[in-house]
Amino acid sequence: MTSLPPPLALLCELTHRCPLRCVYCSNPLDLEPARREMATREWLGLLDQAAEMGVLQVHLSGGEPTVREDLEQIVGHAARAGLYTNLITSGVMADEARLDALMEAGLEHVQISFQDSKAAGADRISGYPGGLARKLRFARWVTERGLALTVNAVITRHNAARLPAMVDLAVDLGANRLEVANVQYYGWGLLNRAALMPSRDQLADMTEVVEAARRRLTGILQIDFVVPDYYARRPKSCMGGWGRRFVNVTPSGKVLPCHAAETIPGLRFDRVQDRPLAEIWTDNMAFRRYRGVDGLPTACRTCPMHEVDWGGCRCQALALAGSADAMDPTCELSEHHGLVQAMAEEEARLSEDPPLVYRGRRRA
Amino acid sequence: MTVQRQRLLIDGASVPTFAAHARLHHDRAGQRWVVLAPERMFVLDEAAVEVLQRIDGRRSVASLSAELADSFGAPQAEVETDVIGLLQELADKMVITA
Repeated sequence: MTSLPPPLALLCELTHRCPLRCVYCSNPLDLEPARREMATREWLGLLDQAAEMGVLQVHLSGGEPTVREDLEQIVGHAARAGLYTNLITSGVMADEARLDALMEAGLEHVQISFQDSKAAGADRISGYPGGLARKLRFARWVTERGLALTVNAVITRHNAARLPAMVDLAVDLGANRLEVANVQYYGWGLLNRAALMPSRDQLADMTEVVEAARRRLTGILQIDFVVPDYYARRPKSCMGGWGRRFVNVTPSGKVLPCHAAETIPGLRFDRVQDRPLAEIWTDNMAFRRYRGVDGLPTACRTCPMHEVDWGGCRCQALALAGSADAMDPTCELSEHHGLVQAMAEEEARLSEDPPLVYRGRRRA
Repeated sequence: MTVQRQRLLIDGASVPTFAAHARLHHDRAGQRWVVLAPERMFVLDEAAVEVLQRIDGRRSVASLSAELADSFGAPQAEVETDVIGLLQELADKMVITA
């Protein structure tokens, strides 16, 4: 595998600590505690290795990355290594001085998640009262400084009707980019799926809103639309293909092909502390297991779409079809496709929402 | 706060520059030039690299098109049309500003 290209992007989950308790969080249900987080020098070493391999972008995420007091150091190191640095934050913790320090260190882009355009809805989904006002304030600090901002509008059935308001909010804030991000159902999101799933009609309305906004805002706001793939005919190209473009490192240093990969039984992951990143990328069994055409389910290997969607998502195949080796049931060619769509429609129609389970440390 | 609220239209007099969040980068591993932007990477063909390497925030589209036409022995009007097309596409993707 000497000709295997390096990943394009490294996702650093610097910490699982977060003041928000979002019910759709894609972090694992077993969150890693602070005492197991990697030390500063370990993160810096990882960034050096990534840059050396040819990685181009680094996403600093979590949990809430600004919880880490060494974030400026990490940003500075990444920037000096030539990596494009993106901070993915809730925006509720850092003050203006912190933002200045991060910019000074070389931060190139900030992404802030918004759970709703209305405070009550945002509070309910994030479990963090008053979060929206803080996020808006932080977002303004970002754009006032000329730093690029992506508004990540997280969509569920509860706020789908306010998508036009969220588009306006992104424009008002001076964002460069808006991600209309329908929740993807992993981790806490999967646990709360029945309480969050939008309806097919809502999806149709969203699509119309996005298309009209794209026409109206060409050259003003770049809009990406992430659909709820339970209603799709073909699966999403999850992570651009397993082990092809992304590498994900957990707070404790575990190297994963995606953030949900640990849900798949039988995969063994290596740690940054134990093995060079380049070697993990090419040789770790978990990366090799589902990489490329050979890693796809048999039916996908002969499908003309296999290098478009790369067989969809292994974690979703596990969650919905009971095996990571099965076809992703969001594909219409899967035998479970009809059941998955019917389940989504039924969940979206629930007259009473199931109780929300808020993200947090769970005691066994 | 001044935020650009209008689509930027590129013409010969435009003086293009990279948006603050976008930059030209040589990808050693892939042996190619790319533009890095938020959650995006644009892989450039040779013609685009020639244009983007000449962007410095001082020179106009007309000026860098004249230089390109001269270097490649092509008609300036044709080159300028191509350059405007490329930069308009990148302006619409929020990569180029002027």
